[in-house]
Amino acid sequence: MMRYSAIVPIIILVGVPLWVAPSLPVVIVGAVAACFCGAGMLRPWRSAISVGGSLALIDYALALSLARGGLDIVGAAAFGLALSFLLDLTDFARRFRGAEISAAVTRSQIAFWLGRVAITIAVVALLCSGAAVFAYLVPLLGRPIVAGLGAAIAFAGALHGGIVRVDGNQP
Amino acid sequence: MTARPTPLAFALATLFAWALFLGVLVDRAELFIAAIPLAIALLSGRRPGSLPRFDLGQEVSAERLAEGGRLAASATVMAHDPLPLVEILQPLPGLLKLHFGCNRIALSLVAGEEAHWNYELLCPARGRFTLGALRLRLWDRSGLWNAETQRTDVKQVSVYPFIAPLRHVPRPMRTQSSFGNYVAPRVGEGLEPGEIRPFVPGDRVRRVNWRASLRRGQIYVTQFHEERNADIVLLLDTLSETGERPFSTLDFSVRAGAALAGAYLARKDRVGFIEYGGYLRWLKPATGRRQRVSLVEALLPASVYFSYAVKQLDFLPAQVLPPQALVIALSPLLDRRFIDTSVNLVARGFDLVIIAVSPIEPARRVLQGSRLDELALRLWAIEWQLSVEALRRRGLAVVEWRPEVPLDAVLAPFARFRPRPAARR
Repeated sequence: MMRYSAIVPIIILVGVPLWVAPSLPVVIVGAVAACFCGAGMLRPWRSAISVGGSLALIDYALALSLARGGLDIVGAAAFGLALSFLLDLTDFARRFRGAEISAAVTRSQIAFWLGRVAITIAVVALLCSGAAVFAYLVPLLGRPIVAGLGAAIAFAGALHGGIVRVDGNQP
Repeated sequence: MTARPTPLAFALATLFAWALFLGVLVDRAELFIAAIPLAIALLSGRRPGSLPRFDLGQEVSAERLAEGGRLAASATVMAHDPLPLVEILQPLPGLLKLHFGCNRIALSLVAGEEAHWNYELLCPARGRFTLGALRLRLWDRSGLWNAETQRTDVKQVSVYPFIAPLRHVPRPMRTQSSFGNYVAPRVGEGLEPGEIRPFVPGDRVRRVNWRASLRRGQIYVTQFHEERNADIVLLLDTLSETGERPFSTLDFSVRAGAALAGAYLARKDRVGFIEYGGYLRWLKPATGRRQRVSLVEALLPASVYFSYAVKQLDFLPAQVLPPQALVIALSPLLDRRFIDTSVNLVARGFDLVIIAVSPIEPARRVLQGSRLDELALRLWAIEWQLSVEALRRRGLAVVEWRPEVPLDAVLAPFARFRPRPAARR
């Protein structure tokens, strides 16, 4: 059942780029991404989800480059959350496929995900308001350099925090 | 315990990198915002620390059961430290099947909480199985890290072959000296009346045959045949096997062996066992309930072990293969070495009955059932039949047994009359 609830993130992943720029290239890339994500949801197959997610990101980037409209924070946050949830849901379904899952596990997992959504919303709000101040301070030519550096630092930080970090109590 | 990041962490990292790269490429802040949930998901991973304290126990409903029986198993987890998400797997031995419940469970326990978990296994085939090596995987909530460990609470389960009741068994040609159920040719103390002869001093008065004495005008006594037991040796062919367990020729042979052992022991015979294959194992003939258990235990692990070296029965001690014994060979007659050994035994004067387990039906079960398969099986059946006939022509007593037919019905003719063996090497 949890596996099939991944249909909601897939709809969001395809819907947000179409909302931004309803054009044929976006529809085509979005359809391919949806196919991969759907296959990944049904199997469940993590590689297909990763490919589908990457295609959805390309689709979103394509839509944003075609539209050239104003900043859509809510749509972007929803897209990011959908992408994160699609991976989480399919991975959870894949991990415990064929296993008996106690009600406590489902309850606590849903509570964990809801908590993460709340944190994400708070962080997005904080960063967006902080970015407005930062944009006022940094000159126009320096912004891409700062953005690139910020992206690289954020990636390295998340990678270190999520994967390679070793806690103090580890042998 | 070994903790490692899961592929989910790498998938999240990849998508996060993609979002940042595309954001820089198309120069749009939305992609950076879309990357924030991915970054938070990555940061929410917590590497499991030291192994949490918990107790894990497992109980099984029986240590011994018969083929086709059901085994109830229950596991109990008592958490001393919090277990946010633990996955427990009881790997099942190949021949045991899950009948009810699940052998894998995901639990979430707080400190001091206890959880029970039940499942039922179907045991379709004989053998000794080990349960209780439980595998545990501790997950962090985000699914980015896991750690694996193992808890062992070994439970041995023996699944015994199904023993069908047999009313008819091949009658031994020679008897032994102990009391039993067979009427021996030798006269003495017994119940079965034999010939009559003139009275001699020392004969008991109760043996006087008054009717014959009055007719002949001389005192005659009735002689009685002794009732004796016999030595039976079950010779199990483990050189070859066809079909898939629990319907392989060896499984059928083992079931037949267990049934024969039970039937002969009920007749007060001494029953022994020889496994003739890659290993040569044996059990000396004996009688009684203990021997019955020993025989079934000896039959339990019988399986085909490939070996180029096949030991000869000539080297067996005489107590294991007594000269007067009835040898019942259980074989699909697929290996030339076993056929040669059987012919050799008959030539040495052993009373031998071969129960030839037909390999056709067990083979049919594993095939697809195409026309080509059917044709091949029919040809094989003809070839196998010819080899059985060839053995009969050499004077061997061969009972053909198709496993779909009850063994009792096949053995019924051999319970009354047995052709005399006259094997030529």
